[in-house]
Amino acid sequence: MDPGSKQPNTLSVSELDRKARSVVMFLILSGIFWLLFGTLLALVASLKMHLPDWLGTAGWLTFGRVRPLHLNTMVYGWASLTGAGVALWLLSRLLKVPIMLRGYIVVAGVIWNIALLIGSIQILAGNSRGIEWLELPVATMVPILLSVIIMSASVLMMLVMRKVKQLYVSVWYLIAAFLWFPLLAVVSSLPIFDTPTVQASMNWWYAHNVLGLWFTPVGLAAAYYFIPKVLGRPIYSYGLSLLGFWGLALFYNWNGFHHLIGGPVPTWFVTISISASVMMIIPVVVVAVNHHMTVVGSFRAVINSPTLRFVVFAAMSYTFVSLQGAMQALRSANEVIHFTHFVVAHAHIGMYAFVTMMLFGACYYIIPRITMREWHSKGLIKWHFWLTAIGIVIYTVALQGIGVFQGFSMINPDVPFTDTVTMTVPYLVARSVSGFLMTAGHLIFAWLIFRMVWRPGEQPATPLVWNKIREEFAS
Amino acid sequence: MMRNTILLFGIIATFAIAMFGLTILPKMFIDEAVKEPTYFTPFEVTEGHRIFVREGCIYCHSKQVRPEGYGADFERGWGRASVATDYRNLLPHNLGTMRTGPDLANIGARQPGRDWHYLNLYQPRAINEHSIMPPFPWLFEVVGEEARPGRDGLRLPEQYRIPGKKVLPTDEARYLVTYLISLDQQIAGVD
Amino acid sequence: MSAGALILVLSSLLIIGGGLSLFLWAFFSGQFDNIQRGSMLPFDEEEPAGKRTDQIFGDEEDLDQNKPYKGEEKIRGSRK
Repeated sequence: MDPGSKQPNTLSVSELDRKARSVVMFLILSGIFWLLFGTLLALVASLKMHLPDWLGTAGWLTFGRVRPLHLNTMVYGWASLTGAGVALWLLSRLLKVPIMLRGYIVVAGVIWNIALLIGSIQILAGNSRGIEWLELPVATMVPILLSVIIMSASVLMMLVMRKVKQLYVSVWYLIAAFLWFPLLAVVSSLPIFDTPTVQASMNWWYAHNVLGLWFTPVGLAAAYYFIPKVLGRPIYSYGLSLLGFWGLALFYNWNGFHHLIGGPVPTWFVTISISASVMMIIPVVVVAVNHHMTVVGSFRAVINSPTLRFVVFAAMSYTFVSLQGAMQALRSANEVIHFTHFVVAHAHIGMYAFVTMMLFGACYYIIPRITMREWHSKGLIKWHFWLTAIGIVIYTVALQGIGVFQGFSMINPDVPFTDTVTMTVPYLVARSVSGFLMTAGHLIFAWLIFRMVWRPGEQPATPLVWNKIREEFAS
Repeated sequence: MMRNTILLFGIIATFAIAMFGLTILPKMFIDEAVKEPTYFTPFEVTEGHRIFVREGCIYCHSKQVRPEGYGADFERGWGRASVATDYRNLLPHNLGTMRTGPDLANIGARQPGRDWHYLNLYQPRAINEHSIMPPFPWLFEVVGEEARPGRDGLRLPEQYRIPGKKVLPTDEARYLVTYLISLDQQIAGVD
Repeated sequence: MSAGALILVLSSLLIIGGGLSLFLWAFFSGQFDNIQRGSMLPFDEEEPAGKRTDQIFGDEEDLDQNKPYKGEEKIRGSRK
């Protein structure tokens, strides 16, 4: 079938990948650095919750500083940098143009990394901005914002110079993401939210929108590309996927205030966000149906591809966490689980089981194709998958299981508050255990990439799936 | 068929946008007719707030009481439903999102004594052995028993005492505790 | 109303308005005209529909998704 009018002088897939190599590898490798650093911070924070006196004399390592730094390094380091690299590669493939402004993006990436490093030191030193998801001092957010704007400029240039007429759904998600994210970052950095409850409203408008209008689009764009690509089968209903996109675009923005249910803000404010949260069920179900109907019957093809193991796991997690979120926004459920560990686990299902696992899957597809090298060990890839998948499942079950009990106990005034804490401790220990599993998985991932990038030339364990490309370049 | 469906969706969406945008805007204009109150906040309280933010207290403690009948905030003696003026225009906001520790919006009324707070900050397990709250020893200084005559050290339980030394709060501990004691719904906010 | 609240509402409207304008552009520039063809966009001559990719853990690869998933065939298959 004709995949859409293709214009003359269009580069081949392998040529596009070759041009993408430096900038995408730079972004992914930067992201992996922050993944490892952020994972270390996660372990420290998790251990401190049940071992509060461990390293207890060091001010710069207190839970109240390590925990927000973990969030900021994972959000603005790992997920954003790797996500940007994956996004640019996808756009290059789908618009059939090389990534524009490549040199500028690498420079921007360097500045991004430096700014984040300085911001990290600032947070540990006690100079956090003090707003959740926005702890990085504004002076360090600005360079990061400028770097994103350079990438957005590249994306718009690629859109204008594209060699295909029709835009695939992943392209829509990505263009939207690169427009929404800078807007969010700019608004949240403005010093105009000058009373506490107004600032709190901005806080949660921002944090939830970063999830839904930056990370979700990148994740879904990846799913919509890799699932058909690996299976060799187009998406079940392309029209449905477009509906899903527009649903997200129109409903998501109003969700954020569901973080303030019961709080000192006008009720109608909160009610609108609850309605929007429930309306999100429509696009979420649409995406789920699409993915499921595309994948059904191809289970073996899924498990034989490292990319799809991670991508399908992530796509299912997206459906799960979104439906769970809609349920949590209802006042009756919120009364119980607000302020408990249930919500922390929910955030990790979103950022880890969905976004992170999706990015792992994307890296497994992209890196061999842009470096033209092979993974040196199939076994290690499987270890990575199982350690991280089992890790996040333990995390979720432990904290959401006890979170519900914690919530019910908290709304029962006959239960002393201290009991609501002691009941969670064994599960906080389980969370630390799961953290060690995920850490092991991350180290394996980093090792696999290190071996591929810096010590190639070993006998590859994976089948050579692009001999044709090698033949092309030999001739 | 698909084309028409999408068109219909677009029309409904336009209506939804208009409904949201046009109901919110007039409401906000009406609500904001209230004049902003003025707060007279002592230096110690603003400094204490700064230290509260620096140490990341909000990651375990909320500072927003839910209305009576919603949750058990009222029954637990945490106070009445928080209102915007309780936060005294101190920024950044610290409404908080977790109750690993109890809500602090009215902690000044529940624990008005400075010594309790000093002890809790220095070593939370000296007060409640099951507490998982981190200690904040850097807000204190450990000096010889005979130093700083006239100033009494913290009354620590047996296992936390340091022989021949006493623990004194630094200025930062004093500011933080002044801030915590100011979190009292009776005196907070506007008169 | 406070400046902050105003900016918050305006930027929310901007985001939604941007979404709406994109929608209208897409509708009138023919993005919705051939829905079925759109689903074929990830594929092209080098990596056509009908061919699986990335079957790294499979022992006996069969990249042609129309064939049953067994039997030994060279990965290269007949591209082009």
